[in-house]
Amino acid sequence: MKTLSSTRLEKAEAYLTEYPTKRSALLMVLRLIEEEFGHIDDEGMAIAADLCEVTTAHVQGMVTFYTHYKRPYHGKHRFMVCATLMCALDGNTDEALSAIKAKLGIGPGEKTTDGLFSCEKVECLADCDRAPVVQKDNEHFCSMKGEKLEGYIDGLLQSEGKSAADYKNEGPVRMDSRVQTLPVHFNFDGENTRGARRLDDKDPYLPPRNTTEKPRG
Amino acid sequence: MSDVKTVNIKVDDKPMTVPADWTVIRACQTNGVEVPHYCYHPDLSIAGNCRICMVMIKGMPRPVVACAQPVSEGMEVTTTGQEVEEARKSVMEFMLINHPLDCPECDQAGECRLQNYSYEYGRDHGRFHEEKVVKSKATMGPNVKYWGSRCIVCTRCVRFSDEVSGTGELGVIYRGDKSEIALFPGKELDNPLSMNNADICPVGALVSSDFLYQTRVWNLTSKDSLCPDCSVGCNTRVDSDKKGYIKRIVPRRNDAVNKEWMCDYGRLSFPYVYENRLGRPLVDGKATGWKEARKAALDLLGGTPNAAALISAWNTNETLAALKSLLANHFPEIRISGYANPGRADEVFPGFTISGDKNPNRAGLRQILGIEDAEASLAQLAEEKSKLGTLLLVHGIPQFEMSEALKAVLDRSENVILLDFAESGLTRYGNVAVAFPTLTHYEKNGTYINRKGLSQSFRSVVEPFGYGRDESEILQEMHREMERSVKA
Amino acid sequence: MSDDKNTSNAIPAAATPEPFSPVILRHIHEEGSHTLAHYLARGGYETAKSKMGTDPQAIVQTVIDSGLRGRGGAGFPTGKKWSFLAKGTGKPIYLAVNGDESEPGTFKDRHILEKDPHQLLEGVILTSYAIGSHHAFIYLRGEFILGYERLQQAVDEAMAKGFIGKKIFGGDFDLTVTVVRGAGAYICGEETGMLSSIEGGRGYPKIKPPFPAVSGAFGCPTIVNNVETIAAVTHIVKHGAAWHKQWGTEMSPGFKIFCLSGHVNKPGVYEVPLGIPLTEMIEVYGGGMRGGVKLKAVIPGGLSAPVLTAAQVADVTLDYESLAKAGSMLGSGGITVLDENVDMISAIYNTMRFYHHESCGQCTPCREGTGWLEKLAHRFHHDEGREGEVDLLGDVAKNMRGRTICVLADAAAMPMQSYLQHFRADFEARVKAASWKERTRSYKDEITPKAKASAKVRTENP
Repeated sequence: MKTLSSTRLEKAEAYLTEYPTKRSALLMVLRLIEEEFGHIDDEGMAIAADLCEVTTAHVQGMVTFYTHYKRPYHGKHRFMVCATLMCALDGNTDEALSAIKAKLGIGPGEKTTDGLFSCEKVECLADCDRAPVVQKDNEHFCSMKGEKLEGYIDGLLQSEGKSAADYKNEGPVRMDSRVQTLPVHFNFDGENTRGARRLDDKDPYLPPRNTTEKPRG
Repeated sequence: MSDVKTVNIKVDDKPMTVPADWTVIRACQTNGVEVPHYCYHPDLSIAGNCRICMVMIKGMPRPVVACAQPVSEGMEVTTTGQEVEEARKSVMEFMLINHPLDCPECDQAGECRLQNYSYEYGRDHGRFHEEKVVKSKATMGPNVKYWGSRCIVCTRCVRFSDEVSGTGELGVIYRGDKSEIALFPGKELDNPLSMNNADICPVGALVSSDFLYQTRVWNLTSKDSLCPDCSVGCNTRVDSDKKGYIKRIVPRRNDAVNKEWMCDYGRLSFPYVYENRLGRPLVDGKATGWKEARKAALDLLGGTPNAAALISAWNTNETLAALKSLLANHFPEIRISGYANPGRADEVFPGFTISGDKNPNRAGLRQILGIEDAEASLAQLAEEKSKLGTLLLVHGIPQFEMSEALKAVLDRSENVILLDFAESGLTRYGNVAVAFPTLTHYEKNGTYINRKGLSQSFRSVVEPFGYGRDESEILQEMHREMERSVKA
Repeated sequence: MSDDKNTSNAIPAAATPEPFSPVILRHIHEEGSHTLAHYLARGGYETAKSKMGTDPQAIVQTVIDSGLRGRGGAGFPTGKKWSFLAKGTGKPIYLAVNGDESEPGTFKDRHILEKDPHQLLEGVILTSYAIGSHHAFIYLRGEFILGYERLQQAVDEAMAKGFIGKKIFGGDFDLTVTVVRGAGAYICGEETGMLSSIEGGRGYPKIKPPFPAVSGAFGCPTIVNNVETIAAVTHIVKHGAAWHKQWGTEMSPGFKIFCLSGHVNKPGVYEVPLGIPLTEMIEVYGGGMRGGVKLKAVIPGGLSAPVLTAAQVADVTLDYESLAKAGSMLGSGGITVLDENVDMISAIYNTMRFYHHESCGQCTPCREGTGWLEKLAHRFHHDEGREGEVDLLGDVAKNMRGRTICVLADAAAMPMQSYLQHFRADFEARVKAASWKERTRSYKDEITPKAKASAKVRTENP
């Protein structure tokens, strides 16, 4: 049974008294749980429900509504690549994604088999003048492509004691994701109208495969 | 009503006077103007998310939702017209694009609002040729199943579980067109009000497991009834199939009693109607005719010393009165005692209370026979030492667990005249001299007084199963025979 | 539009406008601009201190006189909004500052929060004092990690100095400032969606009326303002209404931060007086089109603003009225410049995917309509549009408008309608795929054997 550490519990108590209702502190309490355990799983949700005196169903609704919370099916290092129009212009998003794919062998909506890295497309991260924008967990990067991104990934790999070669022959695992990540098929080809590059993806609207969360019911 | 502030509004040129805190849809519904709706429910908070209850209000540029629009003095509402129709048509189309349209295998077909409103506002062909969103299917709990893809996310069930049952098991998860209703992992929708969720679901997303695939609803005959299972006296509608078998029991709106809710115990109690029914009248264990049985019973009542009568709180006012008048006129020395189905504590929910008193007519026992406390009355009879020559026992309680006190009374009775509808521990007790088969609640007419003192009458909803007769009829027939014998 | 400028000049107090230099963004490039020491050194919190104990109504009047309009997107006059506040309800009044900044193409609040959070806090103090609120919420989107840290640090510093907290500036006014961090939902940028989120719920927008000023957060009267609006309040109260009115047009006075992105040489944030020509923004501030490629279209107010064609861009000035006249809107001030090489169908597909992803799922037309539009646009994107579907796109978009609780459905439908209006030929060119009838024929062939199999199963289990 997981519990919050005493410092975070104190912080949670402070939130609960500062906010007008206990329920309203839920967003921040969930952040504490994310910090404590690295992600929000069922037990974490139950702790938040206890603290904020709401039902577990409500907490589950919150966690699945807000896409920025880190869930168990995300990798330890979670790459979020902005794919909205401003970043996707000139193929910036694609460049960032292909750099991640080249180094880690994962595309959007996928994670490595060892669960260390995951990659997803997200919507606007509000730094549109310096595309592409990439977030890795709580780190925010602008103009993150090419050598800058590759160098960063190399650094991460080194800190994990891995190398890009480790992921060469490994197939990626699909994350369970409904709203959490965007459909895989998207490829923005804004460069020119003639003979634009297109991916021939499978249809994006199939129900999720390889669910890592327990099926309900 | 006089101290409630009212406003005058006009709906389709029909003037109405309604309380000032009402919404347009409530004013319309109360005054017989139909406004289509999915998410609105008079006993739940307002969500305003289905967007089909669009009406035009004079002075507003475009249609507004009637469920969230408070009435105001001089408001002029139009529920028809091109703009309203167009708005409803477009909402209807959006409702159906991701709906699986699996009506042939959907339990809700025939009483589905999507079907009803589609008939009025739907298009004759679909324009949506893309892949539909597929959502999960789940067994929510012992009594409710969930088909996600049919769900229109009106959140009625979520609001019900938050506001009325207060159990809060249900929530909406994900967002956008992937929104669906879900339980927290490891929990289930297992509360005594869970089947109301299936009732209030306007589509076939939440359905009752008990009724699932039993029959199509257009083969059902619906009749109004009452629920006899506790002293609340919920108003119900009993649906029976073409063969006359009860298929389901659903609540019927009565704001003074049960609003539009009822408990799962009451809904699922009806199978006893078809189990172990007593066939013919029995005298000393042998089947006989009604006349012989009545004669035997009357002989016992008049011919044995120290007879007593015992009647349960499950009997109608009519039966209580018939017993009272039979004994008062012809056997004045026989004392009437009462007894009741053992109760338990009330189950209280924020919006509904299930009574712990599992008898429909304890108040009738009090008002007609003057038995203030049925348990004390039985206990008193049980404590007496002398043998009872005959015990007239009017039972009629389904799934009755024999109590020690009743056992004691039976033990000191030499002969028992039993009125009951099923073979049970009582019929097998040994000293039953005469047994009359009677009718269950659903097969007879009568009146109960609920715990608030409200007298409610009901009529039979199905043909009697077997050869039983109403208790009051049997007692009245005995009374008539006594009258005849006195005259002769 | 130059007429408008003249009329604004005619207001007596602002006879000779100062040449404009950035106000809110003035210090963002300076080292340590986010610290309290830096802010105090440039006269920070002086205004708030001087206004304590004065008539709050005077501050409201100053803001009304200044003609400041909400910078979040709708452009509703700020002072007027404050004056709608329900009074004498006996309930606490809340101030909710909207820093969700989720409109794609907008990144102005990020700069205020990360580089100069104290001027926002001073604005919060002034606004709270003006409207009589003792609890202010600043709602940031979850993705603003540095912004959250800096703002929280600023709140802690100000609290330590006694600028916020109990009895601020030694007076008798209490103010709690709570920084709420969202977690990734566009809809929480909608004012009532944000209030739902602050209340600890899913970011479902609430039905209006009642408006937040009457019944907002926790059922209490609440004023919701954008971060930039509140930051502007600091300067307006400091310098006066006339100072603010000397810039901009008569209907859109003052200055605004514009966020320039897309195919320009110098994308970034630029604070300019309202009413300057859009071409000036692109050519002068943006440094012209990147690579000298011809301009194709401009999205002038965040992704949800209807798109403007190159021809329209020439006539438009950056104020609320001019853009409304051109059929678009100023919105949040996120200007995205698209050059000749952009495939507009891919762009609209990307846009529709955004709204599909961000629809909260509450109202039927938006929940279902955004998905439908995306799927249609997706097929057009892959050259698989079918006959009649260009009209269908327009019809679906039309059916979504004005039928939902909040304006997200409109925000999704407006770009689609404007793209259809201006770039219909691009859509027509993608109608290539086989007609629907031909497609269904092939599906039928596939289905037959499966149907037989299922019939067999049924007989086994009668």
